[in-house]
Amino acid sequence: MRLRVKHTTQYTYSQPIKDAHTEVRLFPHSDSVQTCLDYRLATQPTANLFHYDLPSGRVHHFNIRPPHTSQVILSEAVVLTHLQNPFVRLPLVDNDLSFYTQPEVQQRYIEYLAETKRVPLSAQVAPFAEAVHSQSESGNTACFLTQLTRHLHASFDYVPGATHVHTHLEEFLELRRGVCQDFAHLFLAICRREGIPARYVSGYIYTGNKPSTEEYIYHEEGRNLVGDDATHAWAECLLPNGVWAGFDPTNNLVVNDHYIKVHDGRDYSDVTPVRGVYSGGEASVLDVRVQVTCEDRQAS
Amino acid sequence: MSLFHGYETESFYDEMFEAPGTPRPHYQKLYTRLRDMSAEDFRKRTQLADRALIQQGITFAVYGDEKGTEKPFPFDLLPRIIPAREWEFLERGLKQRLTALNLFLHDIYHDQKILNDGVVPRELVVGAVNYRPQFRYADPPGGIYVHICGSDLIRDVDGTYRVLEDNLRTPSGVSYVLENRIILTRTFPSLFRDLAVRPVDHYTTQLLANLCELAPAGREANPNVVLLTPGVYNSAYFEHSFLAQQLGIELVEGRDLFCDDNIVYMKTTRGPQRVDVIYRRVDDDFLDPLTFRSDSVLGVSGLVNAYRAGNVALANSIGTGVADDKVIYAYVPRIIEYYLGEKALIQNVDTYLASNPQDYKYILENLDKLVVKAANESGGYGMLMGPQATQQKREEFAEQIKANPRNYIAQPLISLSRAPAFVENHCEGRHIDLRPYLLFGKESITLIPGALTRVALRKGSYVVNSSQGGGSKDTWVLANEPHPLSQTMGGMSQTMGEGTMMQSLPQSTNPNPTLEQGGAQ
Repeated sequence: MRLRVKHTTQYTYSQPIKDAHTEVRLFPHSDSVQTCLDYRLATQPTANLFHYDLPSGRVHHFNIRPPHTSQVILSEAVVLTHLQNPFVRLPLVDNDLSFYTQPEVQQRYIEYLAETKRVPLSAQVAPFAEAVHSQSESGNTACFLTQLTRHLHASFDYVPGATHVHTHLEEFLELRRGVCQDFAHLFLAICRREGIPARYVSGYIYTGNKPSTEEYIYHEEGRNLVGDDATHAWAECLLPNGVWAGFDPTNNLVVNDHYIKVHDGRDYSDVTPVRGVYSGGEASVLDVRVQVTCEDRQAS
Repeated sequence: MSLFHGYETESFYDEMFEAPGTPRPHYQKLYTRLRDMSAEDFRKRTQLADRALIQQGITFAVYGDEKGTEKPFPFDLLPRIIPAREWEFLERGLKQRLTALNLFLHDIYHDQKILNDGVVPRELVVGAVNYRPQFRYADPPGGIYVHICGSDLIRDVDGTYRVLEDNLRTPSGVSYVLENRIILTRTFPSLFRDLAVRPVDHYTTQLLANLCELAPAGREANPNVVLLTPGVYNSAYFEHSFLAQQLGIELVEGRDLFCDDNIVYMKTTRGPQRVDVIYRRVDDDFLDPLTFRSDSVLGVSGLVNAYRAGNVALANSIGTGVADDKVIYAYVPRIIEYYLGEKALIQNVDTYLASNPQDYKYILENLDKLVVKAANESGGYGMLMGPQATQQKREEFAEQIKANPRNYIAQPLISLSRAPAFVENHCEGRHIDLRPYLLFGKESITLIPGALTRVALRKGSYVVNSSQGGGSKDTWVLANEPHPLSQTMGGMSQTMGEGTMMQSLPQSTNPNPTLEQGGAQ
């Protein structure tokens, strides 16, 4: 699919702030399943943009020194996605979970197996893995991961605003509702406890062309896909065939060509889309708007 | 009564005496000179030296001390002497070690070959408190991460030198080396001549030359170098101001600098002035709130990105603490072999890692025999001296080790070598260590022929840290005949003979004629 993302981030301050430095992780990189055709980043007030590249993605940064009361970051990308059928990449070998017990695998991917502040490997998450294992005895990794995706989707409610960026995983487990970030962190914790290397992915999801971002979220009947009111998040797991495949427990989907990946990391802290510091102690109001549209001819 | 009357070497390796009354050959001249000096005369010289130190403001601060921020650093007048042959060995060993550690840092912040080859367990590196993944794939100028290194060495009961720990972040103490030397040359001027003691005062010249070399392209002609300090409350603030003065560079705090469009500037009364090289004495965590701790007020927002872009240089680089982690320390001999294909010349102290199940058991069963250290603490904090600790203290540490094995190592208690120190009216053996300073420049590594010798002034104590009752001694490295100085000074053209060295002394800071006179008597 040819997808266009328009992502606007606006910070408004009650009093002028100055010497603001911002890092932005919004550039969708190109790999075997997606190609970024065009990317534009602009700010208001205007600033000179700089960037550096990491294997996990490109980081833009800029600073605005004069006093200002609002900062707008406009990010626009056109991305070609190729993964029409994600299932072709999932190996169907029984008992391939033994792949993860190899010391070399455990050493090599330790960063995606270790706990982090946002992904505590507490015993509280163990029942989820047990529940999934009891449903299937094949010992097939892909099967485990797809069923885990479904299980979390069924066990938790997606409720925008139920949690915030600093919500701890334990709180999500208690509330039984949260946003895509919570689903992804829980998914990571369960996988890592099982010894499956798993990483956090930030990105976007295409949920059908809509007239505007405000109107669609709750009005659709039937199966709603959620996540395009803001940046989306899911998990990627290393499969025994060496492929990192994406699983989205928020939507109960194996990641396909409706998804645009932006950055990956150990947890949300590594991929924070916009991170900034400034002088002046004023609180900010954040407004984020994301619109993902399909530009293929056959798209309705 | 002689200063050394009744001096006992006991069961320790003594730096000065082979046996009571028999000095080692390189100490013979000092011994002869001091043998007949009265305790009263020696005490007078000590008092004069102390007064000079206080006048020069050579102090340090102890964290957690309510009484006052700064204390003078106790100074023992009796120098520690290292003969040329020993020093040549140390020089080769320390350069080897620093070369390998720098290659290690470059590797783990790029391809991580040593981790992929399983020589160092990946989890120890990526789980290290001072590993900075944010800085991966950045290229410091010349591939140098550690510009200034101050590793701690000790000598065991056989007199074998061993590295106790590496200090690759912001090693401190070199100001004492320089100041102690100024005091001693004024206290015992003739001894310097007779013994051919190698000078140390080119340290700052070499450091400045190395810092200037790091300037970004197009800025080499007249680079603006500054020293970034956390401020007056830092324990090493005296040293920061001293070095800035000696180097002839601005001493700045984070609030004096700012970043604009990926360039770092210093605020001056005549407007912003571009900064090219920062000798930073601020820890990584506080360096840049955009990249590291966002609550830091000591750093400069945007500094790390400006550094990454090559628009400003930092010394030392970012993330070097992962290589002086006390757990990684245990792997340094393997790191040297991996990158250089050589055996480590200077040995480590045997080290048990609590993260290793076998060692874990051994440590917990032998806490009364071991020295336990937290992986990322320094200055003698977070340490258990097993044989001397109370049962309660040992139990506390056992709990801490169980809670976080990765964070603890243990070593057998090494009987550190001793050297005479002046106590009341005579000399007694006190345990010492050795911190030499290496400067890693684009052309070569320079080892300054001198060092900070720290001395545990409390009788029987093994803890030499200034924050724990330690003092310092001047360290005299002897030259071979004839004076080989021009070889060791890298690109610097100045060659100092005995005469020029003596001439330069009265020009040092705050001359004190009383001391000079005392020495001539």
